[in-house]
Amino acid sequence: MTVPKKIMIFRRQRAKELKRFADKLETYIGSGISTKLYDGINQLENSSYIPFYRDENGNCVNTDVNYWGYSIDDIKLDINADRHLKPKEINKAEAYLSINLVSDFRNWKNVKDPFCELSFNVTIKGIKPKSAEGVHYFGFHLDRHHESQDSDEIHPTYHLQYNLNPKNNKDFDYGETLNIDSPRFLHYPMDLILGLSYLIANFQPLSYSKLIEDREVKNLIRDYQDSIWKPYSFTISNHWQNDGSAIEWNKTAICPFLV
Amino acid sequence: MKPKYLYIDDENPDALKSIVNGFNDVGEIEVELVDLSKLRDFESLKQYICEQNPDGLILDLRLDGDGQNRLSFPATTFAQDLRTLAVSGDVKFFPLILCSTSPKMRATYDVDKTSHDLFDYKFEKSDTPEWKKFSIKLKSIANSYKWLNERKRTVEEILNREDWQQFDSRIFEKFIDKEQDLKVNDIAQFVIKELFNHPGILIKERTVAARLGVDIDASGNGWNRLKKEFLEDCMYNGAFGNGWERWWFDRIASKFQSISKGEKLQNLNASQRVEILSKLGFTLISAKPIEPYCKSSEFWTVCEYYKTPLDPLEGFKIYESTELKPWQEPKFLSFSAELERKGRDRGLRPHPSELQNVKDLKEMLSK
Repeated sequence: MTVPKKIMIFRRQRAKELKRFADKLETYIGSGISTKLYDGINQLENSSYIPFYRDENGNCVNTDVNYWGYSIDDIKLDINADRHLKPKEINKAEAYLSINLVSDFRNWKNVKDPFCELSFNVTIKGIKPKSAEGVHYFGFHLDRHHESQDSDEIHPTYHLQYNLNPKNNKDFDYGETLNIDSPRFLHYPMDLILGLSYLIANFQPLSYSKLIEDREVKNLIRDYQDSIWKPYSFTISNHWQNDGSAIEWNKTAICPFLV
Repeated sequence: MKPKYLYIDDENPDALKSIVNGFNDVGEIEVELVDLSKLRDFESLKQYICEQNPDGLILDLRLDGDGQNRLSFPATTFAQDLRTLAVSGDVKFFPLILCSTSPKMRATYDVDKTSHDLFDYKFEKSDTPEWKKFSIKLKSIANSYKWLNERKRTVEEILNREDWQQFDSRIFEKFIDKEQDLKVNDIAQFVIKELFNHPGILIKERTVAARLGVDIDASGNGWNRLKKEFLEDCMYNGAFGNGWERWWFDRIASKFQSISKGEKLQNLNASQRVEILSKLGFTLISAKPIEPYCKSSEFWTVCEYYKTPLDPLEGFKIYESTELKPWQEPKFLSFSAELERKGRDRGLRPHPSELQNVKDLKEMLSK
C-alpha cells in the first residue's frame, strides 16, 4: 500500500520540521542526539510506511493511509549533575526517551484529538559508583488512553505516570519508598518536538534557554503548540462559556513552555 | 593475482628488507622496493610510478629524513601530486599507504591533519609488526580500488546492501548529490575512515559482543559459533569488507529481537541478553563490569584500553583527532583505565569536556 501524494506532501513537511529540529539539537545539545531523530524522519518520508495503530476493537492494524507517525527508541539526553539526584553520590545520569506517535492526517490543525496513539516513555538511569548495586532507575510515561481499553480507574485521555521500577525488576528493593499505581496525572499531549523540548527544559535548563532563544526553534515550537495544545486547551476551556470577563491570570506562569 | 605494491623509503635498502620480506612472506600481497638511487628527483620518481602502474603505493612518511636515499620532499607532497594526477585522469586511482616509526608519526603526521585524507591506511614500523593484519588490509584496499576503478558503483553495490536508505540520510548524502563527483579515493576514505573507524551503523566484533552481553574471551568457541551460526548475515560484506571485520548493528538488533519476544537489547543487562542467546544452544559467558569501579552491565561499548564491555554512562569519551559526525558514536575509556593513565602511549586520553567528570569521580571515590 502506498501513501497518496497529498498525504506524502504533508508527511514530508513534518519530516522537514523534524530535520530542522534535529539540526538545532545538534547545535545546542550535541552528542549525536540528532541521529535518532532520523529514524522518525525516514519513516515519515517512506511512502510505504504506515504506522501501526489500534482500531476501535483494540486490534493492531496498519491499513489506513491517512495515518502517519513515527516510532523512535532511546533518544539519549544527559542529565545535568546538579538536578538534585538522589540517593546521594549518584554522579552521572542519563534520560532515554522512546516515543511512538500515530496521528490521523485529517485531524491535524482541527479542534480534534491530534493523535490516535501516543506513548512517550522516559527512563532515567543513574550510576552510584560507591554502592554495590550501582545502577539506579526512575521512569515516567505520558500515554494516550485508547478507547478500546476498559478500565474502572479514571483515565484522562493523556496522562502521565511515574514508575519507580521501570525495568520491572522482580527483586526491586523499594527501600523506604512506597509504590502504588500512581495517579494518572492529567497532562497535555506532546509530540517529539514538544516532548524533547520539555525534557531539555527539565534536565538541561541552560541548553533549553539557548534553544528557545533560537528564532527557528521558537517558530517550530509555536507551530506545534498550535497544532497539538490549542485543540486540547480549547476543548477543555469550552466546558465553560467565556462570560466576557477579562483573563488576568498569567498564562506563561501556568505554562512556561508557551511561546 | 596478488596485488602489487611499490614501496618508497629513503632508508638503506638492506634495513628495509625486513619490511619487504615481512609482507612477501605472508603472501597476501607482493611488495617491491623502489630503487631510489636513480630516482632522486620528484618528476622522475613520479614518472616511474606512473609507468609501473602498481596496485598500490607504500610511502615512508619522512622521505626527506636522514636516510641513505634521502629525497627533497616528504611523502605527503608526493601523495598530493599523485592524487591530483588521478583526479585529472592522467593515472588511475590507486591506494596510498603511509608508514613510519611511531614517534615520527606522532610528531608530524598526527599534527598535520591536512594530509590525513591523502592516505587510505597507515601502519607503524614497530619491532613486532603485525604483517598478517597489515597484509590483509592492504590486499582488501587494493582489490576494492580495482573494483571501484572498473566503473561507477552505486551505494547499494558499495555497501552490498539494498536498504541503506533507512539510515540517517546525512550519512550517504554525498553519494546522492550529483554535483559531488565522488572519486575512488573519496569512497575509500569514507568507508574506511568514516564507517569502519567509528562506531555507528557498523560496529567491531568486540562492540557486538558488548551489546550482546558476551564475554568473548571466556566464551571461546561458544562466541565463534554464535558469530558463525547466528550472526553471519549481519556481517558487513561490501567494499573493503575483506580487510575489516565489521557488523551491521541494526541487523544484530532485529535478529536479537526476533528471539527475545520483542525485548530490545538496550533494555536488558548482560546476563539477561546472554540468557536469551543461550536458549539457542550457544554456551556463552556473560560479561562483567570492569572492576572495581564499574557497576552497570548494560553494556553498549568497550573500554578502548581494555577492549572489554562498558556502559557508556560509566565511561569517559576519548579525545579523537577528527570531529565526530552526528551519526558517529564516541569511543570511551573506563575509569579504571583512566585512573592508571593507561593507553597514553597510544594517544588514548579523555576528551577535554570529560576532565571535570574524571576529577569529580576521583574526589567522590576518595572520600
